[in-house]
Formats: sequence, C-alpha cells, structure tokens
Amino acid sequence: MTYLASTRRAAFSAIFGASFFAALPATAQDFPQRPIRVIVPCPAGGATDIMARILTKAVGARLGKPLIIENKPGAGTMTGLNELVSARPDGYTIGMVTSTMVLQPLYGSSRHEYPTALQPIAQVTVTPPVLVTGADTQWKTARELVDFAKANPKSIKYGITGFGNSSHIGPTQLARAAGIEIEAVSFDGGGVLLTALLGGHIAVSAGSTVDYKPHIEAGKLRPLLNFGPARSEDPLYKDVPTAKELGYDAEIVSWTGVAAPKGLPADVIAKLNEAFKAAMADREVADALSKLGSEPVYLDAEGFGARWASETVKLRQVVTETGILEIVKSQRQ
Amino acid sequence: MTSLDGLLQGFQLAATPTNLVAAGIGVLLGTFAGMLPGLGISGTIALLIPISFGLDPLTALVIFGGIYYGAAFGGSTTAILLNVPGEGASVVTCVEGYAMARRGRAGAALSVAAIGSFFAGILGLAGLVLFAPTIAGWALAFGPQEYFCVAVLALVVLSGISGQSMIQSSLMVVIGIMLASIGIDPMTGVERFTMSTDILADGISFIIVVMGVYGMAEVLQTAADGDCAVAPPRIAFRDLYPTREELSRSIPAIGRGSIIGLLIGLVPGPSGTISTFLSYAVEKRFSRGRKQFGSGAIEGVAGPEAANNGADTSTLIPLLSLGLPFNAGAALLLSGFLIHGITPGPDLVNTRPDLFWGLVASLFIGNVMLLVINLPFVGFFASVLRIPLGILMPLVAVIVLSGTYFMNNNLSDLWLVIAFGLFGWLLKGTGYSVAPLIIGLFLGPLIERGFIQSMVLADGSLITLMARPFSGVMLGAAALFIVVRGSVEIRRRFGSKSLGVGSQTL
Amino acid sequence: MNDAYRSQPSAPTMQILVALTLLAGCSLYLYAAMGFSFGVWSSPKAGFIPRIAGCLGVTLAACNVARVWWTAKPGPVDLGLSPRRAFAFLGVLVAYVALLGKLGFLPVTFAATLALLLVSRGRRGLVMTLTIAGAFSVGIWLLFGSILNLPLP
Repeated sequence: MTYLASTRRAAFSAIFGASFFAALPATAQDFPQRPIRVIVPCPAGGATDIMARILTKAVGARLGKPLIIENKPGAGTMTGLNELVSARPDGYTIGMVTSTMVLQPLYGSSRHEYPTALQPIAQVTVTPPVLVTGADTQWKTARELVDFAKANPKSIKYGITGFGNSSHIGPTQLARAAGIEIEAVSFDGGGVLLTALLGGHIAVSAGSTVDYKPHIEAGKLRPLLNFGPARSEDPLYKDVPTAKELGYDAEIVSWTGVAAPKGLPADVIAKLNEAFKAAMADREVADALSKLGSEPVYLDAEGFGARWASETVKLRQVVTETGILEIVKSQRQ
Repeated sequence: MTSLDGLLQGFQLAATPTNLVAAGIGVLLGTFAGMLPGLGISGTIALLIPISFGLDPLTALVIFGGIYYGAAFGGSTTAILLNVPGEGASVVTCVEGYAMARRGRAGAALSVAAIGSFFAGILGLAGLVLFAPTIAGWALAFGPQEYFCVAVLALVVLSGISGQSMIQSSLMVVIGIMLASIGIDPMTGVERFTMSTDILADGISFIIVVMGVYGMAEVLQTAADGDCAVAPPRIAFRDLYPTREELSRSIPAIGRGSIIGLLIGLVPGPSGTISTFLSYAVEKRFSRGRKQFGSGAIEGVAGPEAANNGADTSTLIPLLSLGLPFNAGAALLLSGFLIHGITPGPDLVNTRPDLFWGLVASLFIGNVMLLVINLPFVGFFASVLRIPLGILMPLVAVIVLSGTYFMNNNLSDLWLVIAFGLFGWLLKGTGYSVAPLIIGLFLGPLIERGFIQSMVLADGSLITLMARPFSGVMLGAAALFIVVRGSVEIRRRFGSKSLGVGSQTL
Repeated sequence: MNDAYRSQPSAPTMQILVALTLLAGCSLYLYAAMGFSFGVWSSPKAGFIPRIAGCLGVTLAACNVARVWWTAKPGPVDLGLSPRRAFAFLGVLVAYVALLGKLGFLPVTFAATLALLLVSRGRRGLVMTLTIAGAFSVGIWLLFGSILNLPLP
C-alpha cells in the first residue's frame, strides 16, 4: 500500500510537473527525476501488457523512479504507437512495441514510419509463429498438408488475425514456396480464431506459441511447422521442423520490445538502455516472462534497431513478392 | 460424481478467511467499477494486476472472479438511477429501469436486478459444475456461418422492439451499421470513413455511443426541460423493496432471462449484451406486464439483468474447460491465470484441480456476497435520486465525460460522447427511437465479419450456407419475421389510418 | 445557430430538418463507400457491406423524408421547454473537453461543474452552488487520481 501511495504522489507530480520540468535540460546524473510513462499499445490484461508490467517493475527498481503504464489500445497498436512517436523526447515517455510496427508502414496505412520515427531501447521477447491443425485432421506432418493442398487446390482454408500480419505472411510464404493454393479467412482476434480451429471450421492457422501451448499439451492441436529461423527450445515444439528445414523459403518471427520517441539526449538513452539490460539479465524477470510462454531474448538498442532496419527491407520484399501488399491494397479502389 | 467431490474440495480451498475477504473485496471493487461509467472490468483488473503478482494464485483469481461478477451487476445501478449505462449490457436496463426510477420504484428495480443476477449466476455455475465438458463441445460446433446467422436473426427480431414505424427503425439500424464500419477494419486493416482523422481512426466504440445517446442525451433533455423536469416522487423506506406483485411478475422473467443468457453465453462474442436485448424483446412480447413496457415494467429489468449474468456465467464454461475466452471480460479473467504462468486449457481441471475448483467455488461465494452486500445498499443508492435534477445532471455530465476518458485514456473519445449526446437528443426529440441504432451498431461488425468469413469458407455459395441445418433455420426464421412484420405494417397502414405513428421512445 | 433556436421552430420544420440531415449523412456515407472495393461473393472486400448499407440507408432515408413530408402529423417533437439551455450545456461541455488537456484536471473540472450548475440553477443559492462544485470536483479528482490511481489528463 505504501508503494502505491508513493506511486500515486509521484504520478501527480509527473502530470502536473511535466510542463515545468520539461524545459530544464536533462542530464544523465539527474535522470530520472520523476516517474516515467510507459505507453502500452494493447489493452490491459493481455500478454503484452503483463510483459510490460513485469518489466517496468524491475526497471523502476533500478532507476529509482517508478514506471507508470498507460494502456492506449486501438487500431492494431497504431493508436499507442502514434502517441509514442509524438511524445516529447525527454526519456519520460517510452513505450512497448511489437513486430507490427515494422509491418504497418509497409502497407501505407500508418501515420508514421515507425522504424525511423522511434528510438530502440531493448528487445524483450521473441515468438515464432507455428502452423497448427486440429488433432483429428488427417494431416500428420507439414508435407502431408502440402501434398493434400496440391491435390485439392483452394480447399484448405487457414485462419488469420488480419490481412498482412505475421499470421498471414507465414502461410502465404509457404504457399508460394510450395506452389499450393490455400485461402485465408480473417478473424478479429486470436480467441475467435482458436475456437474455429478447435471446432474444425478452418483447417490450419499460424499463430503464437503462447496461445497454442495449452491446447497442444492437451492433445487438441497438432503443431506442423515452425516459421522461426531455428527450432524452438521448448520441449513441446522441439520436434517441430522449421519451414527452412523442409526446403520452403518461409520465415517470420514476432517480437516485443521497448522504444522511445526519436531525439532523446544520448546520456538518457544510455541510462535507459542500461536499466533495461540489467532488468533483462535478472533471473526473476526472465522466469516471469518465460512463464507467459514466450522466449525472453534480449537485444540491446543497437541490435534491436538493426532488426527494425533489416526486417523492414526483408519484409518489404516478402509482402511484395507474395502479393500480400497487393491483397491489402486491393481493399481500396 | 467426481465433479461434486471437486467442488467440495474447492469450497474448502475458497472458504479460507483470506479468500473470503478477497472475494468480498473483488465483489465490492467490481460493483464500484461497473457503476462508474467507463471504468469497467478491464480498468479495474488492470489496476489490480501489479498487486496480484504478490498474491497466491487462487486468491488473485478469487478477486478477479469477484470483479467479473461485480462489474456485470454494478452497471445496472447507474443505468437505473441515472440512465447512464456503464457497459453495453446495461443499455436495456436503462430503458425500463430508468422509467421505474422516475416513477419512484428505483429501489424495486435495483433489488430485482440483484436478485435476477444472483439467480442466473447460481444456475449458470450449476451448469458449469455438472455439464461443462458436454456444453463446451456444443460451443465448438458453432462455426462462423452459425454466428453470422444468429446475428442476422437477432438483428431482424431486435430491430422491431422499439415500436416506431418500420422505415424509421430500419433506417436507424442501417445508420448503426454504418457507424460501426467507421475506423480501421480489423479484418482487412483498411481505414474506412475516417476522413484521415485520429478521432475516427480507432472506430466509434459501442460504449461511447451508448454513453452519448443515453447518458449525455438524458442530461441535455433534462437541461432543456429545466425546472419543469418531473422530479421522482419521494420514497418512503418500505417502498424501497419490491412489492409482492412486482416479485411475482419478476420471477418468470428472471427464469426466461437466465435461460436466454445461459444459451447465448456459449456463442463467442459479446454475448452479455446480445442476451439482454433478446431477453428484453421476449419480455416485451410475452410477459404479463407487456402493456407497461416503456413506462417502467419490472420484467424489463429482471429479465435482461438475469440474462446478462447468465451469459457471463456460461461464458466461463468454454473459458475454463477449453481455455477459450469468448468475450472481453473472460479474456481479462484469463489474465489472472496468465500472471501466474498458468494458461487455462482443456487440461486445467486435471493439471490444476485446486485452481479450477477453487475458482468455481469462489464464484458461488462471490454470487452470494454480491446479493448480501448489495441488497442493503439499495436504499442508499436510491437516495441519490433525492438530489434535485438541477444539481444532479451537471454532476452526471462531468462523471460521464471523465469516465469516458479513463476507458482509453483518450481525450478524443470525449468529443464523440458529446457529439452523440447531441445526436441522440435531437433524434429522440423528433420521435426516433435510438434502440435500433444501438442494435445495428452492435451487430453490424458481427454480421460483416461473419458474412465475409462464411463466404470465403463456402466458396461464395449462399446455398452451402443455407444447407447447414442450424444456419438454414436461423436465416429462414429471419426471412419469415420480415415478411410477417411487413404485412402487419401494411395492413396497419391501409387498414386504419387513424393509428398514426407510434411515438413510444426507447 | 443560436438565433435559429431562440424561438422554437415549428414541429414539422424540425422533423424535416432532422430527416434531411439523416439523408445527407447516408448519401455522404454511400459516396465514401464507393471508394472501397466490393470484391466478389467468394471473397467480399472492405467495401462490400458498406456499399450495401449505404444503398439501403439512402433509400430508407429518402423514404423517411417522404414520410415526414406527406404525413400531416409526423409525431411529437419534444426538445424540452428551453432547448437553449441544452445548447448552453453543450457549450460548457465542449469548452471543458477543449481545456482539459491544457490546464489540468482539477481546475477545469471545477470550472465546468460550476458553469453547468449555474446554467441549470441560475444565480440562486450561489454559495451552495460553489460548495457543490468544489466538493464534487475535488471528490472525483481524489477518487480517480488517488484512490484508483488512474492517469489524469
């Protein structure tokens, strides 16, 4: 309770003091002087939100000032990202980012080019999508699925959680590499998609290992293919081959990280990087994150920024070649 | 009878002093959150997540369970007293509940809402204990085609509940669907009708329109009425609770509402709200007090409130036995598990029987607590109405606006609430009923998604859609309903011209 | 705008105005909906439902205008006795939202509550009005900001 009380007082001084303190130059010695606002572009209670809460607690303890989470969900994380981009670059506003920040600008649907408008701080987790099917379907391996799809074009329907996101890109790459025709059915959320998959209304879908874990454990779903660059270390997915292993040129991963608006003073960046690095090295944090089902994979600011740049180039090529860009654009006239 | 053994074990775990206190705190917080417009379950649970890291997993779940129930119930309080629905599921409660409050029967409406919620909750939990695996199987049999057809049938049946002319109600439904399509389409990622503004990019959320056209419009109407606004009659203490007649009328409504809620709760999607609308439609047509609808019929409060809680409870069946959250509230309950590294799935009952049965038992306890805590407060809440309207309404306006802000921490939502307040006030003032608009807004996205999914799955063939037995029946019923309603309307038009246009506003 | 409401317009005029506004809104929507592709039956695109809704909406709104026009008694108009007061309310609320992001929660909430109370109660009981506004705004400030620990604008 005392912790809460101090947070609260601090929150007030943050809000009311913001305009006065902002004018003062911030130096590494006295950063942070007040609590730091963390924009989470997802609703409270979701996996990204809980990740942020685990992380901010640890980082707050290291910086000596609390980090206060503000959920700004909407428009497929773009509402929160837009707010982060236009926040004052003083280190007192940072935010969680997900791999959609690289994809959305490619389709021309976002207000900003997020990879260039944001300052990377740290990558937190990585989750490769896996292709799964219901346990009672006839396809035991990815090969059998591909063979079936070859023999019966357009008969396999796969679920996606939105055109052009990672759940769409993975299977589209696979279809192109294997020369098969499969059709995407779009759902408005992972839960609904999972229901349709378990009920056998769609044949396969490619989604996060986190969502599928309990159902694979219970024997209701069967993993066929891993879209990550290498096999997962999780015993549950250890035997699932990657697409590359089977000779299909398909690779996509989802990740979560922390970013700030562009233009932070160098010493503030250094201080933030250091705090997140220390927090990610903390066993307790790593355990809490992996309990959620995702793999904690830390990348420092430089590595994370490099990932943004390389993925932007790579995914631009992928969405153009696979025709996904065309599909997304064709919704407009 | 292993499930009863499990339940007994659960009660042993849940009835520890710590967990009982936790359930009490959860229920109180939830009721409070439900009452404050905009705060809702998600805000409250988010507030508690940091605290719950340090708690025992079961205790944390017990608090979340209490919030889940409390919030579903708390929304009815502001709906009845102030015509401000704190959440989608209390929109319908506004209609009859607020009318009852204006007649001085606020206490009765509040009590009946509590009793109805309690009854439906207990019934749903009994279903969960006894038949969870079987029922969960049904939920999976519903595919996108079935959701689409359920939504179409609901749209057709519900658009008729307002009692205005068919042209008006259809127009309102279509406008609702149009409003729903504004914003970034979650299926295609395309920005539609946003005029490139940030305000509209995220779409027009259902709850914002509801707060506008009900809460804010009522504030404006009262302001315009000025001193002539009718103050509710003063209430004596013994009038706070329902009379025997009111109770005997409520009981069948609660029964019907519970059943509707329990069934609809198994359909993925925002089932709580749909079930309240359906229950209202049923009560309006079949209940003993159907003539009184529009001026405060107690069935119109009892049925929908029971339906809401019934749906919220049966949604727990797929959540706990399949690990599938069918609505936002259930998804948040899931986060209670996630924090402690447990993802509920089909195996939860085997791998963590302590958590599964402990939670179920504590939900029983929470339901009882909800009733015990809330009934004595009825008088206190009803006394809010003794504040003169000239003072009350300005305060309500500010509360509605700040509540809206806290929903998404977004100032632009406030502009929308004000705009919809004006829109709703003008529409109601000129004889349109906004209920079909709300229904279109709510069902529009479900219909659009369901349709697109069904068409892709069926390779564009409507015949395949009709050939599925369940969806075929639903679509047939919807078509029949349109024909019957159309012919009734035509007969009324040409049969007796003097009837005029119904002016009953909802 | 204000002048139009100074004297309450006759009921049919108001009816027609609202009906025409609805028609205009639906037409605009249909116009915008034509900008999205319709798709085909086997894969409906982003413009499918909007175009259907737009066409239906325009038709219904046109019928509605006709209904209001031709019916002698189009139904009751009840915008209250003094719609001007409702517009004053709206004005205060708009100012409230506009200033909320700039001046901080507490002072703006206090000012808005006070203004709304003055509109609805007039000048009588000024002390009472001030007390209520003050107690209320501090109350919800404490409630939202301190007890619930929510981020304030």
